[in-house]
Amino acid sequence: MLAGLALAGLLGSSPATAASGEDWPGYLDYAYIYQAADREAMQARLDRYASSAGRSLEAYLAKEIEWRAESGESLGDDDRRRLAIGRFLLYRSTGNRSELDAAIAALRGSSAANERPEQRYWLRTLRAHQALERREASTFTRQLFDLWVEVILPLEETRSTYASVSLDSGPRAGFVSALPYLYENLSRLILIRTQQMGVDWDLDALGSIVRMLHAGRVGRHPDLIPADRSSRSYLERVIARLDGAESDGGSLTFTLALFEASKLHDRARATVAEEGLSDAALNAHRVAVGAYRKAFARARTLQGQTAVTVRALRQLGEMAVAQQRSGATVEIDSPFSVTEALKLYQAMHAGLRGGWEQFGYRDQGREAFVTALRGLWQEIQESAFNTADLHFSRGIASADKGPRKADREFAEAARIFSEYLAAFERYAEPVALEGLPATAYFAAHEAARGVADATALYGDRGQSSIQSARVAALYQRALDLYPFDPRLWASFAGALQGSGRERDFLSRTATLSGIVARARVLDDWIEHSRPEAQSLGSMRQAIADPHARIYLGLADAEALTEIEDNLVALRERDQTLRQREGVLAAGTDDAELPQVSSSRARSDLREQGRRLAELRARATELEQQIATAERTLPVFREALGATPIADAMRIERDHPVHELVRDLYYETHRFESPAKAAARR
Amino acid sequence: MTTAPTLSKSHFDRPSSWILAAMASIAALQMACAGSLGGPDQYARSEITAPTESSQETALAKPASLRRGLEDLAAFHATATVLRRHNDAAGTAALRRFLQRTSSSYLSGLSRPSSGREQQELISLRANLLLSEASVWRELGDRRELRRVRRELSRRFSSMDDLPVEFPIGVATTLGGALEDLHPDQGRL
Repeated sequence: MLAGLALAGLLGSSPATAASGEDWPGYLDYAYIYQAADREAMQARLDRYASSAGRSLEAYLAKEIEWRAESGESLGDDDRRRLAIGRFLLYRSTGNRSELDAAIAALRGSSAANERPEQRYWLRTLRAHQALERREASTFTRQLFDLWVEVILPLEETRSTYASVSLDSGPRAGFVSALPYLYENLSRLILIRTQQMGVDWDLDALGSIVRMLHAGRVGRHPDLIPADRSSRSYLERVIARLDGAESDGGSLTFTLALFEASKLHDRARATVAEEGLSDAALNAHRVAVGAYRKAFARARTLQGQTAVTVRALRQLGEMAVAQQRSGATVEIDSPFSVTEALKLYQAMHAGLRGGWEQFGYRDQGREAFVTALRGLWQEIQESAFNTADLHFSRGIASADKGPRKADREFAEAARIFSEYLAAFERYAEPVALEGLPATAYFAAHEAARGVADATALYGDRGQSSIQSARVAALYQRALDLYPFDPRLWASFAGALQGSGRERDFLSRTATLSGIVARARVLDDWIEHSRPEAQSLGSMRQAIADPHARIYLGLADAEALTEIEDNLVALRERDQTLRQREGVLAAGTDDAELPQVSSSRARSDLREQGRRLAELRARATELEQQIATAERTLPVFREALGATPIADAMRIERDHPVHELVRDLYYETHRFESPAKAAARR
Repeated sequence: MTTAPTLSKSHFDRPSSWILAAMASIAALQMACAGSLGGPDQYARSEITAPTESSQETALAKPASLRRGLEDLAAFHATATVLRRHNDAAGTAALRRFLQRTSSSYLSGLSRPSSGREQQELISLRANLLLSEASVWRELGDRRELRRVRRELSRRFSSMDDLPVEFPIGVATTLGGALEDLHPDQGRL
């Protein structure tokens, strides 16, 4: 136990924990405790020990060991081992490969190399590092397998024997007590060092050791290696990833490559957050793209390709948002794109009809496959929208720099939205509705609207009626997918006006109105007071009423006051008419007519009667107008005042109304043939 | 604060002689209690006993080692499956060599019965260990090793067909059923 405490002290990084007066042999014999430190930490540690020992490591090795070897003296095993460890530590602190070669040369010829676990441990460790330097993945794997069989298993067996007499820890346990550190070193060597050295292929067989380290070895001795200094949590994440849905059929090579890429992505993201789109941030993103490209190349299954693509698309989307915020334009060459991701989605989508096990999800099951498929779509959607929004905003911003530049941006925005919309139409089929996330349906509405907006703004020199007709059709499609945004009705009516078809407004919205009025899912939603039921109810009432629909199409919140003023004027006019009607009626009482004898008087009376009838007709018309306005205005007012659900849905993936929009889509389309659906559209 | 080691660790490489002597005595005592100096390597039904207080104490470390062995084999199995699915011939060959060495230097010792009567739990663990190894060999496509382990199972656990075991890993069955399934004519091989 005392030795354990001493080891724990050595592991600590505080200079205070290094004892004063200790010379290098003590530090070297316990180097397995700190051998995995990174270059800077190792250099600092060696400096600290040099200060304590009163001489540098190089000076110790030269003065105490190497000069004897140079003078022809045969070195003992302890000296050989210390020399090897010393050179190895110098290699770790400087990266100088010749130090590693010198370390291996020092152990060569050691008489005990084939027997003592400690000697063998260092030999195998040094050779494993050498294999990494030489980029020899298979040699690296072999060295670690040998290390396991020649060092770990015998030590564990000895520890098991010692444990039966309570001697498995403490100074008398010898190198057995180093086991927790050896596990830790092995774990770091495989999980971290391989990636640092760029050896990221042919590592799958090492999954066996990684799993054995995870099974009760690494992290089992928090008294010696505190949790925050152990690789346990990283190891757990690696195992979870190996066995999880973001694996590549369980490939360790792939999992490590993807972890490495994700780390670089996180770093790039942090740099952008700190510095904006600085050169350093852009370089960091380029490095992350390169790492994702490499991870993608390592993937042997669609499962692995999906896991990489999802992250790479997220990165594309983040870059688009950063550019939109900063107004900067940057070029990052990436093999990942919405178009490529849609090809991958197509391949994955085929698995819904069978064969998904072949894609890598055999161990995780069909549900994991479907979740991954939806996740891929979600990222395609968000990346597409972020990029399209970027182009759209650039188009708006560059309107004053000449129509050509703005048009290029609007055209690109329209292309991306169209690509999404076309893919949606392809995959939103009732037989395989599980392939899309609930957000896809509202997103399709957004895409249709996005194409319409971009097309409407394309060509600053005025729109042709054909262009307006196309815009109107797109707005209509957007309304079909999500009719609850009052702003869109006005856009649709405006586009119809532009193409000279405003008279078609009511007829072209009649079918949608009927669907909304009769939709069972909407009934159910409102009846059960589910989220936003009140707002949805208000909009449904407005859409179902032809007069309110006209208001939706032709008026907005500002116009509401105007309509209300008009209603007051109508009422005043009605009152005036009724007064005049009363006066006229009094003068043309039928009972008095026979008493009027002159033809002139009769003619006047007839004229008054005609005017009275006219006034009555106008009064009736006004009454109807007032009645209609009085009935419809509150409906329209309520619809306009309803919560703008669309704004919240745009930013909330889990907004509950996404489900309603999806269900409404399927209620509408379930029994329709594609031809009928096209005709309805 | 804590101090750095002041003795060269080489002093601790071997346990002191009194410890070795004590361990030898304990081992001798165990064997003497079992009434034999060399253990049989085949079980008979009569040798299965219910755990007793004394045997529980002396065999404390064995189930733990066997369970660890089973965990290790599960790690081999998961890795072998990945390599097979990815048609990774080089990885499979490397893992096969690794398992061969692990089997001869570690697993064979674990699966060998100790002297005297053993609890049902230990026997079951040993059978499961061999079956797990067989599972891995089958996953690695090594007929020769599979046959070897099957022979060993048949020899050591003869007339124990009803012994509850797991085969393949995680699936409950009897030893007889597992041996049948392990026949070279069965399964993927």
